[in-house]
Amino acid sequence: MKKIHKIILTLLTLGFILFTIWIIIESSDYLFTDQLMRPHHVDHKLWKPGGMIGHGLGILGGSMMIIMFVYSLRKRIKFFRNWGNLPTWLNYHIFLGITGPILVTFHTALKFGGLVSISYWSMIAVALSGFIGRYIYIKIPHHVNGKEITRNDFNSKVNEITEKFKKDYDLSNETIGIIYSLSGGNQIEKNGMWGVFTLFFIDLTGWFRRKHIISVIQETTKISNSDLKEFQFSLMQIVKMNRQIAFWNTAQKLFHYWHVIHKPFAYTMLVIMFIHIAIAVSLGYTWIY
Amino acid sequence: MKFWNFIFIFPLIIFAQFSPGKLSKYHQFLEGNLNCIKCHEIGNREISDGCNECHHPLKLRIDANQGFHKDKKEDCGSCHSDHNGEEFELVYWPKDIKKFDHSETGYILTGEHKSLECKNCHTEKFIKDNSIIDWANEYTQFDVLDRTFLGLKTDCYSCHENIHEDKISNDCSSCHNTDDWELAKNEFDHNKSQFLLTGSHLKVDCEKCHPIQEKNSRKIMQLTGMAFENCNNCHEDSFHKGAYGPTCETCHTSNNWNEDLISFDHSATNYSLNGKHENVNCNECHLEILSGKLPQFDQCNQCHEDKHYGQFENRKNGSDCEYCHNVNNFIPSIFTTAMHQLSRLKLDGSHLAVPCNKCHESYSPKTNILTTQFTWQNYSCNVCHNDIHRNQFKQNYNNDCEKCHNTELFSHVNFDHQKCKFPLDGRHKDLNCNDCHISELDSDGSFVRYSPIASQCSDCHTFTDEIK
Repeated sequence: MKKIHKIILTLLTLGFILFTIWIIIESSDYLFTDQLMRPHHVDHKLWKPGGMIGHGLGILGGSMMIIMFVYSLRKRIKFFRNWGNLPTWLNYHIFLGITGPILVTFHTALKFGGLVSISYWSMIAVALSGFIGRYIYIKIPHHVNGKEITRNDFNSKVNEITEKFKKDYDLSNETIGIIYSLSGGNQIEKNGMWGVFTLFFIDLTGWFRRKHIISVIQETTKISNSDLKEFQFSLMQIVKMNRQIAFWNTAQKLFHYWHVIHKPFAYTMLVIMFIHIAIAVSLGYTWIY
Repeated sequence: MKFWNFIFIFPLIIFAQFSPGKLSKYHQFLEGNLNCIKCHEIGNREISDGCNECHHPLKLRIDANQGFHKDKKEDCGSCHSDHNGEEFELVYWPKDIKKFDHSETGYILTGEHKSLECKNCHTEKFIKDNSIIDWANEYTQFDVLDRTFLGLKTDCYSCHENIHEDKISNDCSSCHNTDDWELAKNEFDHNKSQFLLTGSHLKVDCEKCHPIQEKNSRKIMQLTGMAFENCNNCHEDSFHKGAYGPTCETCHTSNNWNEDLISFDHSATNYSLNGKHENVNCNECHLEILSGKLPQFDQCNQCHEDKHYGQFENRKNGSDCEYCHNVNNFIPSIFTTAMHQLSRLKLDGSHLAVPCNKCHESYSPKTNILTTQFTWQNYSCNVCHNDIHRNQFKQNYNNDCEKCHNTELFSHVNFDHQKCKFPLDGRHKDLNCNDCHISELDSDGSFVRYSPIASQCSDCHTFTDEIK
């Protein structure tokens, strides 16, 4: 990702965090008021879904959800193919996919009902599935330009790195076998579709595992302190790659299923959101316009 | 679910989900997407017109610029938000309901009304407006008549029973106020009634004239049907026994029945009161007031005692007091010197200069009575004057002083000596009276001798020896 986009995203994220903090502070009293008493709250006209701020947040959040679809256009439509780097688009897509639902959540004033709640919960489902998708996505090796690496290429790269690692630190095949074993690749592969949970569990306990793996492998060889850092990096890179290889098939299947879930929710969200907007506008709820 | 069923039912499910929230239980009949436009107008966020479709009794009041909503013609939803759930109360009181400024409704709560609960008045039983009752029956299945604030009228009878049974004015405030209903007597302006309260009537308790009656276990003051044409409708004429008829007011006023009779126009009677009579208390003349028998007034002495004790009974002008007195004052008399000249004793000479009381002195005609004397048995000079001549002229002149004197001056004697037994002639004419009539002394003092007097020459003259 280009530096400029990093800066933009960082600033946007910081801005959004501050904005969200302000919203929480200002609206908390209203939002924690009983639903039946809210219409009598002094801030009702501001924070209700059709209120001055509440409605604005809905428009802003809804707009973000719509803009988010530009990523899909960039990804699928030929015309947009030359519009920037896909991973950069994905980062914006993720940013909008996180911030949009938060703003829309404040727009709802935590009151979920009616047709539009389908859109809301679809949006939440899309957002959550986005997290899962992102998790699965990063487990599948990609080129820098976002293109998926072929399995052969990746295997060759892993072998190459492993051989170099073996040679650099004079490791035995037995040690390499221990590394494979400690990476958990076998368990991931053995558990098939459920291997995602195994991988997730391994990632959750990653810090402890990393420490354990390093200590076990270090015992089998003598590494000078000056090489220790590079050794640890290379070791964990090999462990990670082994996990990716073990999870590859499952990841591809899951990613396929994920698309089946993520996209319909997204379309449902979009369709009902437009219906919601159409009804609101038709009934005169045009915010400040 | 079969495919085609889903195809047909899904849109309905979708439609049913358009609402942003369930409507209040009072608006449940409006649930359903096909009903949205019964309240909402396409393209118009303002829903007041939709509200007015049903809530037309309130709209009528708004249009008439009446009631709490008179200045709240638009944006009903800003106060009466809906789609907040079935249990949401559409009418909400932001503050303690008791702090509600009722004057905003156009009806100011005063007195006892201020301490009442809303429900004391705003309840179904007091709703007299049939349009509200009809509206409630037509538009809702809920018992809104016990919740609505419409339908009351501002007249007192809307809530309060008319215990007077429409016999008096409907304007309760002409007698009552809201501070204390029972203190009506302090508020009521009796002078607006057919019977004006004046004088002592102002101090009389209402119940004295308006008796308290008991009706249906309630004590009710009789306010109508009171007879008040005549005083004896209330006052018993135990004094005159009706002798003067029913028109008490010709003599009495309501200020003070017994004393304040000055309002009576005595000139309307056969005897006008003038002078001192104007200040006389009625009962000083009307002695037989109890019986109603009127006093005789032909003669003064029918009322007044004869202070002269009959001295004028036999005089020429009779005993008519008005000859000497009038009603302005008994003293001084209007009797004048000119009138005195018409009396038996005409005043002349020095008598004209004599003060009345020099002659008319006090005397006692009877025992223990002292009065001024105006008549005498005779009017000879010696009735007043002493006889300084010691009765010397009794025999010859019957003591008629005027034979020698007149009233001009006693010393001015006009005696014709020639007509007496001793006419003067010769040198006797030149003599002074006292040369012959000399003073003598007796037990009362000195006096001049006139008669009998010696008439021989030697009684005066002395013979000389030569003559002898």
